[in-house]
Amino acid sequence: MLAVHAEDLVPRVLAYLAWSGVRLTDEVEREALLVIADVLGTGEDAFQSCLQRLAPRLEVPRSARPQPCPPMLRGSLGYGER
Amino acid sequence: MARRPSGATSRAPRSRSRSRWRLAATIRRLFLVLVVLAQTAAATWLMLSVLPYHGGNGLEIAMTVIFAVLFLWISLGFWIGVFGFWFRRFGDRHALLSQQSAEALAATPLRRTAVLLPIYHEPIDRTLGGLRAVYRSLERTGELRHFDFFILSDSRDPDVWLREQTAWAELCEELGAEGRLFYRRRTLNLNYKSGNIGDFLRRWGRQYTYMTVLDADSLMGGETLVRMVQLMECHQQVGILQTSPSLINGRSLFARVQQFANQLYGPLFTTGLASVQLGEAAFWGHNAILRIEPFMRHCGLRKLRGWGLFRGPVTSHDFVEAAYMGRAGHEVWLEPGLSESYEESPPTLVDELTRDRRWAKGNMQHLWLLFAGRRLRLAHRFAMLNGIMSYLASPLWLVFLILTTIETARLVLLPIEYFPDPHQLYPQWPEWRPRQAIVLVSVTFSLLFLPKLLAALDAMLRHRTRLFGGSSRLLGSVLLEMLISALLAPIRMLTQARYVVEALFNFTLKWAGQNRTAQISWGRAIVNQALGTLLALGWTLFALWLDPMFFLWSLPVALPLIFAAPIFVVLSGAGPGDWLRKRRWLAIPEEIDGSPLVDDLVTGRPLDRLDDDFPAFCEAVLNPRANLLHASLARDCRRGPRRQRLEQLCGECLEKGPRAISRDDQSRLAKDSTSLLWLHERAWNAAPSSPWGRLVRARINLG
Repeated sequence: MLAVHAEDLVPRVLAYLAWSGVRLTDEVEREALLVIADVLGTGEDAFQSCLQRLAPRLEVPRSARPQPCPPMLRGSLGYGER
Repeated sequence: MARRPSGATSRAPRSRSRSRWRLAATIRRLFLVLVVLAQTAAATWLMLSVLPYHGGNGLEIAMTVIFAVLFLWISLGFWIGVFGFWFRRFGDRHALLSQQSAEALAATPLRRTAVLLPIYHEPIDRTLGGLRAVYRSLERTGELRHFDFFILSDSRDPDVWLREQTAWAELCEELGAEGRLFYRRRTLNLNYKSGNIGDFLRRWGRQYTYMTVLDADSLMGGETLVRMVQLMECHQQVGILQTSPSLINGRSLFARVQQFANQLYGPLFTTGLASVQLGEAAFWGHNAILRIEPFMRHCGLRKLRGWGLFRGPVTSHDFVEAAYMGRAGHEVWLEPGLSESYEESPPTLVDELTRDRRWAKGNMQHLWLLFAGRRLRLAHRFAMLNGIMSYLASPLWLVFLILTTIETARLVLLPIEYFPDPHQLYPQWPEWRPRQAIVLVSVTFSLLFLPKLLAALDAMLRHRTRLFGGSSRLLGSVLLEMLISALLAPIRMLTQARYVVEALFNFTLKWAGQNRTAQISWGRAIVNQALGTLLALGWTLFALWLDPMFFLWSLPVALPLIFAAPIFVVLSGAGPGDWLRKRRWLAIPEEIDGSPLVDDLVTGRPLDRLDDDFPAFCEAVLNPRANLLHASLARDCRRGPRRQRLEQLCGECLEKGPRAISRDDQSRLAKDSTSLLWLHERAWNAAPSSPWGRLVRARINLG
């Protein structure tokens, strides 16, 4: 990410966590801000680095991915003409 | 070993039961044909006596023939209503529901049934919300384990199908329906809705004994679904069992009139129709249960091999499938006694007429099968003729009006020809018999409106008037419905006549754009109806110039056409509909007594929760959970030459933003799991000033 500023990075990281299903408690936000503070100015890919560092510290709920279809049992359509 | 249903009978009693209903059907049909033909002959004779030359020239013969066909049609409808009244009063022992006791039916074990919801760019909240209500209703019966649910999407727009996928996943979570509620989107749309169902059958049909097909606006109660499966189990010879759906949830005045008419008159007509058709009824495409094995064996639809309209896939498949099922020796029943089967009316006349264009084409296509279809049962050929005539009646009426105008103009403008035949000895005097004309018109109107009054009488005799707002409101609503249907008849006639011509000649007449919003603006209505209004105005002024009496006769047809635009606007508005609902006019039983099934639909949590202004494709890229879901449903499409194209598209999409690529290209990317995951990672890392950076900010601001 180019030209990273805290004002862009903070809402992005918090929004990403929230949309991933993480409950944004004071503790989680503090954790996130500490990581962002660490990452800023390091020249790393800031957003990605934040997520990588936060991943082991937070519990991200598994998102629902239901089974779209049952196993197939192939058949064919007939025209019933004799 | 296959489980034999407890209610299944041996071959001998089954064939006895079949021959009994066939005998009853033959007697009823013969009686129907007899009374309809006798009534039509009498009316045609009266018509001949009304015409000035009593059918003495080509023009009058043509008028008489068309009149006879149209009158026959009206008479048939009248007698079906009378049959319905009779059988509702005295019961029909041949109806499918009457053939076993309620206890025997309730004790019949169920078999695996698939509930299918084919959709194509439908409103997600309504369609999936309806499926949720059906699911919950089945859950309440305790028989849910026998049913699986399939959302079969044919949607092409990524903004629609990505929303469908998200809503389906949320619905699975909400209902705990994982492994029971499935979603499948066809990547290649072939053969319309029947192709969609066919695709399901080829993949999963063999896993189920029955399938119930729902429409996007269908709603069916769990008890009804369970009873339908039990009926199919009791009657192994039945291939299709069709319910008679009631209309609900109308808000606009138009929709409320439609649903009131459907709920009050519908039972009478469907009972009458079922009593004549018995085991050779039609399939209406939804709110029905089908036996999968014979359906797969016999109901594949070949492309038509004629020319023009009669070449290519069958667009209106349901009647044809019923006919093929009948040809294979299976029975098709319409059972009006099955309650809790619902659908919705189009909100406006424009929506209804838009649908009519498709239906007119589909029904005209049946002309080919009517004459060229091999070994179809006569009753099913008649069902096709019924569908064809429901549209063909409109151009016939129009031609009749044109011929009437020519006849009047000839009598007024040209000198009277006393010796049309050079060899005749005596002069032929034109005669006018206005009293007989009034009798003829009165008889025709009676046939149109008497069944409606019979339906009101039926409601009174069954003590059901409370469910329609009480006796006085019921009668007032019937009169209001008659007035509105009389106003709509000429408008429908002119539009349907155009659709029939378009269908038969296989082209599209450009008239005015269609409006599919619930409320129609004045400007739009005026433009939409301008041609019809001008034609009617010209015709009625010509009639006034010709003869004041003819002018008066023309007014019932001309006035609704002249005032079509205001009629459209008033009927499309929710305001007048709500006003009447508060006063219990045009009321229906579900509004008076409520229904848990309908309440589930209305009060359910919204399923399409994405902001309308934020495209679903952007959500699929940005939202981590949505991205994972859509990527898991997508496939790896990066094989062969597609890989390069997808990589190029990904690059373009990232650099220039999603709006820079077409909807089709968005669809291509959303179908590829690798592209979705790649874009997700890059978009979140995009610079704040880049297109995706701005989209991230916009999405965060939306919350």
